[in-house]
Amino acid sequence: MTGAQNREDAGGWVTGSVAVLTLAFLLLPQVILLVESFTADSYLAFPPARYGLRWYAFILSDDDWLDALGRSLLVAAIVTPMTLLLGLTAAYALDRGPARGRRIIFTLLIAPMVLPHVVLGLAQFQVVFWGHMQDTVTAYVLAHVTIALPFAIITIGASLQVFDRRLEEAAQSLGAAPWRAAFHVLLPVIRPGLVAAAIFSFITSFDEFIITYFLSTRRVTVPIQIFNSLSFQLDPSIAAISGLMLMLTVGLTGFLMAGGQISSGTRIVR
Amino acid sequence: MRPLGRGRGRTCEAVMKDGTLEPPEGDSRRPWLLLVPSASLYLFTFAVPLIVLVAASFEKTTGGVTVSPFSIDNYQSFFADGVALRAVLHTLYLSFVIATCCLLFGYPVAMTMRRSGGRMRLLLLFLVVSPLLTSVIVRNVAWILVLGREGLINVAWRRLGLTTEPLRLMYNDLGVVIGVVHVYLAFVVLPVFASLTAIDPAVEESAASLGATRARVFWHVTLPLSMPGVFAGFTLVFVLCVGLYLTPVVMGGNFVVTISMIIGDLVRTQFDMGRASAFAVMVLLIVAGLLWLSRQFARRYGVAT
Amino acid sequence: MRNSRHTTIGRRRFLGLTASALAAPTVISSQAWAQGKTFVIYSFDGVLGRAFKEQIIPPFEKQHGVRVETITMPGSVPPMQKVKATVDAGRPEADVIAMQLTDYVFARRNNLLIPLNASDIPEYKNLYPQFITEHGPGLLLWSYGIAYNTQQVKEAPTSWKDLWDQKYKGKVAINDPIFDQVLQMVNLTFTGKTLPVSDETFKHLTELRPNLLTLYTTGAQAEQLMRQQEIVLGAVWNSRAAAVQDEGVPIKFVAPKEGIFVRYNPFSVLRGARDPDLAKAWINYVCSKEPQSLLAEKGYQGSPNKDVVYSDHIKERIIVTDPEVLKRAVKEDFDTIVDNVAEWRRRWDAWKQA
Repeated sequence: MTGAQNREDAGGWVTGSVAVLTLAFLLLPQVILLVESFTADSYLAFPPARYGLRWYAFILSDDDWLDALGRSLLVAAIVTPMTLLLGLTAAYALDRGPARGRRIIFTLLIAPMVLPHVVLGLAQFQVVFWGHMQDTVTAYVLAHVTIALPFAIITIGASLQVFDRRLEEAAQSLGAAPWRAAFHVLLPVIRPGLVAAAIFSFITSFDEFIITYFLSTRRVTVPIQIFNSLSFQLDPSIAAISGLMLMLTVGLTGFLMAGGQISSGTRIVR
Repeated sequence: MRPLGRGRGRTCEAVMKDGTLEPPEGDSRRPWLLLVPSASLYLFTFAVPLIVLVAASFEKTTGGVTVSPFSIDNYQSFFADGVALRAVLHTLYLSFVIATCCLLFGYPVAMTMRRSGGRMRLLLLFLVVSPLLTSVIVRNVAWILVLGREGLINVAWRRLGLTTEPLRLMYNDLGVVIGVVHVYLAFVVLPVFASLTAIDPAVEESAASLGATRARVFWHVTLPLSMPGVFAGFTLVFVLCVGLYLTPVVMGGNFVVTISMIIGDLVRTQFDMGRASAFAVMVLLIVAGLLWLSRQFARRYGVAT
Repeated sequence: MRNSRHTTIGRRRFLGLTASALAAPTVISSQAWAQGKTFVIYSFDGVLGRAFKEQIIPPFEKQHGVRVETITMPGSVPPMQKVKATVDAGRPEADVIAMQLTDYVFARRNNLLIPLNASDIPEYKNLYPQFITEHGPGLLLWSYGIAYNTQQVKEAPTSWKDLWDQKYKGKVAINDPIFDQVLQMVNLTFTGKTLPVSDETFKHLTELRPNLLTLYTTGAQAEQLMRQQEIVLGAVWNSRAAAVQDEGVPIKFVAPKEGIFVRYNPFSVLRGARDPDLAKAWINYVCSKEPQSLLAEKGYQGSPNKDVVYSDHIKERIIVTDPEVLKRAVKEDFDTIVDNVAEWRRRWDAWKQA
C-alpha cells in the first residue's frame, strides 16, 4: 500500500515541480528586465554595476520615445473600446443568431488570429500605401482592431454561452425593453469576459510590431521604436520602456478588475 | 400586470408588432445584423487586402519595376529557389517542437491552476500571461543576458562545476524554441485549463473509489477528457509558429531561417512585392491546410472542438 | 529687422562651427530670411542623428535663418523606393539625402540626383579627390575589418584568414547585413580578388561555419557580442569596435593585410529639391572642417576633408586616417554589386540554411 502511495505522491510531486519550474522560467526574463531598467550603466550587462532612474528619465524626456509612447497609447486607447464594441456585437450575433452557418461565420471572424502577421501585414501594406494611409493613426487602429477582435469574440462569446438567459427573460417579463434588459442585466454579468477582452485588446495593440512595422515609415509606435533603437544602439532604454509598459498594463489590469471580480462569476448590478 | 419602466410595456410574450422585439430564444435573422460592424471592418482590413495580395502574387517585378502583370514565376521560385521550401519545412519542424514543449510544460501548470483556490489561480494566471505583457523584442534581448556564453545560466553552470565548455543555448534552434515557448505557453495553458475545469470531479472520484491509482485516473479519465483543450492549444500554437519572424532573428543567430523571415526580407530589403505576395499566399494555404487537417483529426478521434 | 538685398556672410560672426559656415559664399534672398523658411533633409538615427540635431544643425539654422527639419531614416537606411516615387512625382520629401554606395547606384540609374561640381561646393578643394562623386561628396568614411579581444587573442590578427583559425571555434561572428562585403572578403582572402562570387566562395564560407557563433543582424548586436565576450574575433565595422573599446572592453580594430573595405555616404541634392542653393550650402557646410571633426569624434567616422585633425585617441579608432591603411582599401565595383546582389542573396540564404 505504501509503495503505491509513494508512487502516487511522486506523480503529484513531478507535476508540481514541473509547474513551478515552468513558472519560474516564465518570470525570469521579466525579472531581469525589471532589474536592468534600474541600471545606471550605459549598456546592458547583468547584473548592473550601478543603479538609478537614469533610463526612465531618458525615455520620458527623449523626443523620439515620447512621440512613440504617445502614439502607442493613443492607438491602444481607441482600439480597446472599438474592439469591445465590435466584439460584443459579433459575439452576440453568433450567440443569438441561427445555429446554421454559425460555424462558418465564427471561423471567418477568428481568421485574422491564426494568420501569420507577416502575411496580414504585407497584404494590408499594399492597400494602405495605395490609399496613402501609411503612418496614419487610422490605419494602425484598423489593423490592430482586426487582430484583437478574434480573441475578444472568443472571450465574450464564452461568457455569453454560460450566461443564463432566464435572467434576461425575467427582466423583460418585468417590463423592461430588450435593450434595457441587455444593458442592465447582460452586460454586468458578462463583465469578466468584457474586462478580459479589454485587457487583451490593449496589450495586443500596444505590443503589436510586425503589421505596424509594415504600415509605417516615420511615425512609429513603441515596439518599432524599440526595434529601431536596437538596430543602432543596444542600451538599457529598452529595459526602461519595458518596465514602463509592464507597469502600465498591470495598472490597467488592476483598474479594470477593481470594478468587478474576475474569479467569481455572476454579480448583478442594481 | 403593470409594466415597469418607461418602455413600451413589453412582456416576454410580446410579438414583433413593431419589429424591434426579438424572441428570447433567437432563431430570427435579426441578430446577424449585429455582424455588420465587424464584417465591414474585415472587408477593408482583411478581405480586400487578401484579394490584393493574391493579385500581386502574379506580378513579376525586378528591381521595383513591374515586368509582367501575370506570371507564375513567383510561385515557381517558391518551389525552385532552394530557399523558400527549405524554410517552410524547417518552420514546420520548429512549430512541432515548440507546440509539443508547450504542452509538456503547460499541462502541469494548468493542472496546478485547477487544483488551486481563487486567489492562487488568479496569480498563476497572471504569471502565465505575463510574458505577453512584454514586447517580443525586449524579451528576446533579456534572453541574451540569460542564455549567452556569459549569461546567467552559463555562469551558474560553471560555478557549480558542471561544465568547462559553455552551453550553446542561443543562436540556434534551441534558443528559438526557448524564446517562443516562453510566450506561447499561455496559449496552451488557457484552453487546457478551460477543459480541465469542465471535467466533473465526480467522474474522477468515482474512478478512484473503484480502486484506480492517481496515475491511472489521470491517464484514463482526466487526460482523455481534457483532450479538446489539449488539441485546441496544440493546434493554435502550431499555427502561430508558422508566422515566427522576430524571435528567430534574435535568438537564432540568422542560421535559423523561417518562411516569414524570408517574406519580410523580400519586402523590406528587396522590394520584390510579387514574390513576397506569392510566398505569403503559399503560407496562407499551408495554414489553411493545417487547420483542415486538424479538424479531420479531431473528428476522427472524437475530440469535440 | 531690415536686411539688405544680399546678406553677405561676413556680417555675422559665430565661433567654431558657424565660422566654417562663413566660408561658403552662399547668397540668400531677403525674402527667405523674412519668411523663416524650412529646409528639409533626410537624417540618421542613433548617435549620428543626435550629433547632427544637437550640434551640427543649429549653427547652420542661425547662419541662414532657416529651420532645418529632419526626416529620420529608420536604421539610417534611406527609403530609396519612396524617394524614387516622390522625385518622379516632382515633389521630393526632402532636399538632401545621404546614401549608402549601393543606394547611390540606384539613385544614379534612376536619375534622382542633381550633379554637383566644385563651383557648387567650394569645399571640394579641401577634400581628397577619390571621395568626390559626380553628385556630391562622400562623407562618413567607415571601414570593415577585424576586431579582436586583446585579452583572449594573444597575437593580433594580421590576416582575414585568422577568422578561419580552428582555435576560435564558436567564438567568431560576421555580419548578415551588407553580406556582399563578406563574400568579397572571402574572395579577396583566398583568390586575391574580390570578384567573382562563385561556388568556391561558399565552399570557404562553409569551412568557416564551425567557427561562427552567429551572424549578427545589426551593428548594435555586434557590439553586444563583443561587450559580453561572446566572441573573441569578428568581422565588424570600425565604429562598432570603437564604441565598445571606449566602454573599457579590451577590443582592438585592425586592417588585415589582404585589404580592408572603406565605404562612405554620398551626400546629394535630390532632383526637384525646393531650394537647391540652400541644399548645396548645407552640403558644403557639412563637409567643412568643424562638422567633420565633430562627426569623427562622436561617430568614429573618417572624413575626406584634408584639414581635419584627429586626436591620437580617434586615430586609433578610425584607422583610415592612416594613409598606409588607406592604400590597402579595396576597390569595390558598386554597379556590379547592385546587379548581382539578388542572386548572391539567394545563395547566401541557401548557405545559411545548410
